[in-house]
Amino acid sequence: MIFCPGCGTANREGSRFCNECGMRLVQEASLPCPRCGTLNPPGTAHCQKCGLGLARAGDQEAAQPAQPAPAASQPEEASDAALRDEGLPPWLDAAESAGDEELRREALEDLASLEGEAPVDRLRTGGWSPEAIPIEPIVGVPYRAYERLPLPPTPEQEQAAQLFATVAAQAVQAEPRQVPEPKPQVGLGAGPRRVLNLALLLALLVPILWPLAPLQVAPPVPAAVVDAVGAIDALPPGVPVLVAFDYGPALAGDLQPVAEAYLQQLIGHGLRVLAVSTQPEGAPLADMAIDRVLAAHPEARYGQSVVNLGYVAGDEAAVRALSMNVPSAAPADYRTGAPSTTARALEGVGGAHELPLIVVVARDLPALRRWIEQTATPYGTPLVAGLPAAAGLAAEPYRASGQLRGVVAGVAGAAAYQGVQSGRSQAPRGLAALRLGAWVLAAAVVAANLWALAGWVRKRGAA
Amino acid sequence: MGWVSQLWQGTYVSAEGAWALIALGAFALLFIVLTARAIAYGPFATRPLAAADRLRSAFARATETGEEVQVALGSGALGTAATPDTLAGLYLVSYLARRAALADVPVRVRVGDATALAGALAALQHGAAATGYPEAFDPAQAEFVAPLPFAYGLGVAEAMRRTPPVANAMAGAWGPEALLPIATGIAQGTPQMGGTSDPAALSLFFGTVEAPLVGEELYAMGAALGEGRHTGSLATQDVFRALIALGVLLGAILALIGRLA
Amino acid sequence: MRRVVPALIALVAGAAVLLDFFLENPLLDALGASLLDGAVILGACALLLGLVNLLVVHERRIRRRERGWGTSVVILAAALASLIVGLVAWQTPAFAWFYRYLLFPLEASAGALLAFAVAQAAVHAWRFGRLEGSLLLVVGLVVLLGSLPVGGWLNGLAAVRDWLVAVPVLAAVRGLLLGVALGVVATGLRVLLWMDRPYE
Repeated sequence: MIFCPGCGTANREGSRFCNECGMRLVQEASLPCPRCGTLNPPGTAHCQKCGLGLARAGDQEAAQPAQPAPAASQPEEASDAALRDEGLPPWLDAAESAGDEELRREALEDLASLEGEAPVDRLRTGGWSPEAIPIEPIVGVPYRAYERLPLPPTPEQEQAAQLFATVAAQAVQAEPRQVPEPKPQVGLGAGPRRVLNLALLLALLVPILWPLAPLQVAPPVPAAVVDAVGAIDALPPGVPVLVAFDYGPALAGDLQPVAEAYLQQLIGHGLRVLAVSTQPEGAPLADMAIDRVLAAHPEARYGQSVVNLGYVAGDEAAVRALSMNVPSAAPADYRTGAPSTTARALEGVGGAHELPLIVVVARDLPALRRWIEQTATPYGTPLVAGLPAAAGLAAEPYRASGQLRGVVAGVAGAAAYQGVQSGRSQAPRGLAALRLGAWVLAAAVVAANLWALAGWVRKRGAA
Repeated sequence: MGWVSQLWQGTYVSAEGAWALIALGAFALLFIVLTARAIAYGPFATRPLAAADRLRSAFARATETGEEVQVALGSGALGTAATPDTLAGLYLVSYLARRAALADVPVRVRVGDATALAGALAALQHGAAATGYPEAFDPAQAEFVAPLPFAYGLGVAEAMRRTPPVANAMAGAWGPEALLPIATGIAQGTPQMGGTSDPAALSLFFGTVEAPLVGEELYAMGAALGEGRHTGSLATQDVFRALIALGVLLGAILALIGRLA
Repeated sequence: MRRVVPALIALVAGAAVLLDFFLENPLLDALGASLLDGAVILGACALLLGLVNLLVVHERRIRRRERGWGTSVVILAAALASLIVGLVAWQTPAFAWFYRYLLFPLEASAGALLAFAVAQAAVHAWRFGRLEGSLLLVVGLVVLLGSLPVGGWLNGLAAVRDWLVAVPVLAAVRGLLLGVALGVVATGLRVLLWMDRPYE
């Protein structure tokens, strides 16, 4: 084991980097192997990679290449230098010491005295057998390669050598075939994934292209939506309301209907709408929503009933600046470029915290929270929100505590909102697509679990 | 000193503001005391975080295979409300940067905001310099993918498809776009860990990544990765969490008594 | 001194903005507002760093012909084109066209892909067998089918879904938000008091 000098972790022999802290385990002052170039710790007798005998510490001359041991040499006659030059693996070298050498000689002498014949002599007479191998003394000094005499090969060894010669004689492939390692399958396989994606795509497309009336039943109206409608209905006509478009095109499918539903009610009630955004991509979305709503309300005029103040940079800083003073935080009209103070919709407006209501259509809870933290909580400004369906649940604590007066979440929320306003009982086609998609997803989950259960039952049956 | 009295007289604080300032002051005081104790007498005991263990084992694997470790910090910026989440991700970057410089392991940091990019570059550079291998720093290790959240999520997913990492750590300000790289990692069988503070987005991590960081575990990553003095702030949070829980319990009991009466 | 001065500046600036939130004072309001404006400007300048990084990373990928270098060509071309259009044709119909017919559909497509990612993740995570997977499966199916009922027994499921949202989910989200709030305060204090900077 090699112990890391940095953290002390035990690492496998031969590791070059610590598995715990990554520190290099081989020190700078190292012994380079002249054969393979591996850096070995100082004082190493044999190269840790190829086993070549290295010079002792302090002796920087290159080691001699390993030599095979003389065939007839006796263990007793092998010198220390010959031992090293055999190129033994380091664990053998580490296992040995001067005392071990002495023990080996004594053990062999004992064997010879017991049998009446030196084990080496018995080997010379042929008839190789396991008993001829010198028995290791109890100290456990390992058997070493140089003690084995060159014996005629067995038939098995000859066969193996012939096979090796055949293989070695074959032409080497310039680019061996890469066999990709199969990765363990964690998720769905490619086939089932494609089937699921196709089913989901059809479930979302079909109701949009061909209206399916049973799926267009209006959903029950959540209390949060009723509260949002009520908060706007309670305002007298002509008062200014700030509407924040804090989302981007990615979530426009979910949130643009919510924003338009709010704008329809605000403009329909004769309120003045100040559209603003703390996301750079929100201002054009506000413009698109305003155009659609003004087309449905010809009595309303841009600049009088509604004005788009554009993007205000800074996230929380932007909300804080708007809370302090809207005209100075948003000095220009996004659509015309004229100073925002010239817009009639902005007449008499100071800080956003003084307004009777702020509507925030936000892409996620953190984007909504900055309005809650900077205006609703410190000043008590009434706030209603529009959120994606997934984030609507996360906003419940704020609604339960009164920091939010109402929440409209996703396409379903927008459909419920429009249903409350207009009294219609039929939901838009998008909702039908959502429903069918949800059912397909539920079916896929159940099918996957049943498949897994069937597999488990099969395995249990086989076992 | 007339301006001082003028300043004092012109200052107004609401009752809620005063209570909030007192609570913040108490938190800060306890925080300083416990952090000083953690520095002087050693860190407080903390429970291990699965995400930290996963990160260590992923790094060990990366030292052997040479594949890159990906850290995705989300779309949050430094200097906004997303700063704590982004800082938590930067602790991961700092931890990996030191070890990567020693072991020559490629680390790729992908960000969705330019201020987070600056933080990531600084963390990588200082990490390399601190270990004595300043040449190990490569500015291309930190990549600014896209400023819009979904474009960023797609970019990270595409990068994972192009060069599958040995592990994917997603810690920072993430929204629903987190599911795009998570789904790619699931399909590839890549070990994933991470979390965010937004509860709606956090639900996407739970059940899909091997080691999610739930709630304030994201802010405890520093302590879990060996920063002993962070345990002082964890201890402070524990004390205040216990006080809040006691207060909620007391309030519930009183409300029940009031309702019964 | 090299470390003390920036620490003091950070502490004073942070304390000023923090106190501005709780106290109402004209001087503090002005100081806080100007510090916040400075932070916004710094953040905008950082965008230049992001643009340079984009150029460096993708140029290297193209030069070395690494995997995916073709995508890098497209990215660089798109980034430079939108930069030029934004600088030259600001607030003109050309820029509006750029947004409405390029950025909007691309971003919307990215958002739409989420539906398929959600489906895969749900099939992967909602697995009977482990406790967490089983809970996710049961609750997930109830919420999924109960969110948009069409009548019949699905309305009953909607009632269960409403209870789940109003009681356990609300409690869990509250707990999460409280814990996160404490973590945020602690992290903010660590930064303000210069106790920790992971980027050093």
